[in-house]
Amino acid sequence: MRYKTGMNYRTNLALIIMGSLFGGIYFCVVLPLGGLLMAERGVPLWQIGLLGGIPWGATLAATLCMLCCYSATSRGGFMCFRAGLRL
Amino acid sequence: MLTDNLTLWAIGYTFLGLSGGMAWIIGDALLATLPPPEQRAKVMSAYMFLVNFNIIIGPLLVALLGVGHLAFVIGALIVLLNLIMGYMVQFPQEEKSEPAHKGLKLLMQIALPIGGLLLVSLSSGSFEGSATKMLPVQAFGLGYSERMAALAAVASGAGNLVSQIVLMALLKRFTAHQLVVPGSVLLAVFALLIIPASVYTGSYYAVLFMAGGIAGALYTLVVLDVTREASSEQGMQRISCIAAFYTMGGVLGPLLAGGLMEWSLLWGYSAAMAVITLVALAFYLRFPANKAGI
Repeated sequence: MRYKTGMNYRTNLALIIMGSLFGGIYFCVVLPLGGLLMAERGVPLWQIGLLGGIPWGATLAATLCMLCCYSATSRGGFMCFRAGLRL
Repeated sequence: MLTDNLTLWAIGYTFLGLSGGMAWIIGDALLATLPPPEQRAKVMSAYMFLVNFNIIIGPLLVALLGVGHLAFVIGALIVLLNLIMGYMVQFPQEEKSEPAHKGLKLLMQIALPIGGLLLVSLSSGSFEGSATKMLPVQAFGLGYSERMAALAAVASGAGNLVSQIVLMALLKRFTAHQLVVPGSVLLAVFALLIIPASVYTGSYYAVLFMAGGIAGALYTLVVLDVTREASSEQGMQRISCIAAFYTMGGVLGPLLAGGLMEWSLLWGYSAAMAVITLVALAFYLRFPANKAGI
């Protein structure tokens, strides 16, 4: 694959990997934080489970939409990547 | 103080899932397709290893900082780094390719031949999706402090990280395809072992470490198995499908575990994970990928 600029593909890969790592940390802070907070307040466990499934459900919806509408490596896929970061 | 309004948490989680989902799938697809074919396995292994640190660092921050706004603020600061790096990523120019099917037709075309593996990835996602959320809840209910409870997710995440190294060694002797069935059986066994292991703190965390490791390794095995002998585009499409089923597991896992934990805090989690894993395994054995066209 060619790049518009002369960016080294290794730098690009490193940016994607490190970006995923940092985004994942946030995900993994917020999930146990919410779960423990709810458990502390005595929220029923099934509701905590339901709440825990919501981010994954939203991820699934985003995945299916992208899979249906775009090839992930197309321009549209990249716009989704940027949109995801903005959200 | 963080809100205890369930609706607000649900809205926040929805945005988290939408944003993370888009960035995750595109990131995975780029990583699977950007490197030259001979370097793909190496790049993906390194990526899986590094990214697994998030499952450790995230809950560890909660364990260190406690359940309060400080952990949330630090998490939000870290996600800013993700935003900056994401904006620096450059997208390669599109290659000319044959027009392909889109929508449900494409989904069916990709998913049907690898149906068994998709369910195995669902079982892996069920464990990993519920480990981050429901294991700390279970540990808290068993009487551990909030910080010790957050360490339950850390133990599972650490197992995931270490298992990637063990897996790389195993893959020198076995193919990914050969390891899918033993991996699924072990996941069900270790999910059930959580029950007797909970008697002692050490054994409880050790079993969570093992179960988390096996669940993580299972996802890597599925990714490697579906991309063997696949072209770049086929590989990317199959990985998207695998990711879709993995996230489906992330929805199903906490939901089923939460429901069954209402019935029994200790047995509920293990029962949910064992049932999902064994049903997926039965389906995989009935429709193994090698008989289905890959």
